[in-house]
Amino acid sequence: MKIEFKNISKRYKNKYALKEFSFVIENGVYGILGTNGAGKTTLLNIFMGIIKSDSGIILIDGVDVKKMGTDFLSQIGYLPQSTQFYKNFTVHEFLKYMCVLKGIAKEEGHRRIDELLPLVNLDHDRQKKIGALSGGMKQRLGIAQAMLGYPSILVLDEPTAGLDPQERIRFRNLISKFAENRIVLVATHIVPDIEFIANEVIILKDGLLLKQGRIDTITKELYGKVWSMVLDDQHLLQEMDRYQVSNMMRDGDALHLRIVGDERPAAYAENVDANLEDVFLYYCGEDKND
Amino acid sequence: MIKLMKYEIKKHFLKLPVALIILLFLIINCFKIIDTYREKSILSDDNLGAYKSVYWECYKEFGGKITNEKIEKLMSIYRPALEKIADRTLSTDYDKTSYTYNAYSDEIFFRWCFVDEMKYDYYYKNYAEKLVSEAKQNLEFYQSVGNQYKYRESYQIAEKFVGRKINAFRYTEKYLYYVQYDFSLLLILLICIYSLANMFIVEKEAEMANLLLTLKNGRKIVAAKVMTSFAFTAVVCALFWIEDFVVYSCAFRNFGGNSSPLYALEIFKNTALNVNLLQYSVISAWVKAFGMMIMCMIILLFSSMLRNTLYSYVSSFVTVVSLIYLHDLELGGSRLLQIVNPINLLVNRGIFKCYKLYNIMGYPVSEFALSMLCGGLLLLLLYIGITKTTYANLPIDRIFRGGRQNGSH
Repeated sequence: MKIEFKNISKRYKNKYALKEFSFVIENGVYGILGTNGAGKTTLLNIFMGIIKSDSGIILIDGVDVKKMGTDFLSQIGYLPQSTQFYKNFTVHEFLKYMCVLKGIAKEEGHRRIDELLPLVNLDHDRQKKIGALSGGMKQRLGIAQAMLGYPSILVLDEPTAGLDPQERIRFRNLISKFAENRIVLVATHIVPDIEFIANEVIILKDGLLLKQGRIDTITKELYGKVWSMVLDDQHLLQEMDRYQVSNMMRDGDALHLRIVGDERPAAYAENVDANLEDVFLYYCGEDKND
Repeated sequence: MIKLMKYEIKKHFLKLPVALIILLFLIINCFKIIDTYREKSILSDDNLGAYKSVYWECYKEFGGKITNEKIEKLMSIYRPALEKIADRTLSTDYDKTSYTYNAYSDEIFFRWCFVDEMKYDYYYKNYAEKLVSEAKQNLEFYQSVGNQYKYRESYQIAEKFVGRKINAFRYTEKYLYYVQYDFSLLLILLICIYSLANMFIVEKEAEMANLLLTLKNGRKIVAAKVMTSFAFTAVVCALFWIEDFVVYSCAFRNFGGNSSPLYALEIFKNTALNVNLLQYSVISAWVKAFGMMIMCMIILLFSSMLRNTLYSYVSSFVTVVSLIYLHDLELGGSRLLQIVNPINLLVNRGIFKCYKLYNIMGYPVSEFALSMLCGGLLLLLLYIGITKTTYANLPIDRIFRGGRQNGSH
């Protein structure tokens, strides 16, 4: 399957939420990175048909999604941002309800629910009310509902927001588990969530596509722009204010800094390999030249 | 759709508070009917209750088909009593020859319970004939002057009233108060506000709205919610109206009078309906249910427009109270304003008790038909409003101006 975004733009009043976004997606996990308001949710909502773009088209295997109608929806599993679901439904009831909404036949729905609940580790909680589930369990239920109709495209909007580290790791693993032979789009501003699972990342800022590509490629491209240094004199810290500091660690009196920037911050600063967080900071961080 | 409705019922109505409030209101309604009986019935203990057994004995004799013998017999009891008390000098002590306590109470008893009612029943035929005769005269006159609307109006009046008569005298007091009982409507409205005000807000609070829009059957949920609300309202209405009928019948100790024509009740002297009291009760209940559906849609509109349950409760309540107030205010004023007020369909005896016709493009249309038409239009507008606001109220964009334009969207 191939999804092609062609010149997608969306404007709210005078501000572009998304500007001439073009990208081609094939099977695999795609991380959409960006700060809050970068245009991630707008992109997903346009893709899902919740909002209409001002211009541009989306093609799936060469067919305009507008011409696909509800057939298109049955190919997609979607988990929106911060959905709470219905508190007085049990896990099992909710999934049955989602089967009805997705037009999945009763028998097939039951079979799929029985398959999915153990996968998302909610098998023993199937009779639990949703109101009694933790945030992580709710998100696992969310991905289970998204997976109900064997979708070929899985769209997850900020799926790990508010989860504790253990749940985030569990959720990441789930995404990888479900990524086989399908397209997974994960929009997030939490870089580590996609660093280890995404095949490619798309970095958005102010509605513009800033960077795209495989993680190893774009991190390699940043070689020579990530620096490590130890600061003995605390007074020099203020000077570092003009650089993008991606990490700061105190070790006794010494401060270990990791700096992202085009120029060497100090003569004794050493070049180090970039990670995805450095890339994100490089493209989406505050402009220190202002 | 049925499956979606099943889940809507689970979401909104299968809750203990909803069941408790219905039960509580049913109990309150029962006490209110009993109280109405005590306060208003001629045969209640607060009025002529002491003579109840006398009433039923006399009813055996005078009830049923009105004949000259029965009238003469009744008058042979009533006239002497009336003559005895004419100069108001008769002793007020107990008189063992009287039917009740003494001649004073006999006169009141027979006048209230039999004479006035039988007189009305007996003379109704003359009243109807006079109306038909006048309508026919008008008909000829308007035909001669070429006034087509007035001609049609007179023709319809003549048609409606021709051949009307009340053959039998029956105990219809139960119906007299039953058809004027509105308290259960108020309770149903309160239950509807309580149960329906958060119908669409649930999705907003659970942040489910966006997800629903991306599901194959997601957008059918608006129709499912409306249908479920109708079904719930219909069930609640049926519960209360069955209770009204049964408790009224029990309180008045009477299940009869059903076959009397509607115009046997004096307040329906000029009704357009040629139906009996039981049939009228069913018709009235259907019209009330229709009115209740409109009220239910008003509540749903607030639910779809607002994002906070409390605001929805308050807005619905204020609107219902305002409509009731406007209805009462307009009673002495413009009927046309009343026609568009859905409360008019709930308190529908106003529509049925008189045969009012309105000139619609030269044709006389009854107030009932006009009210139903306005109600239908209002229902449609409210449904469109709900559909629009449900999607337009999404946090992101206005779906009706965007979204996919193909398929079932």
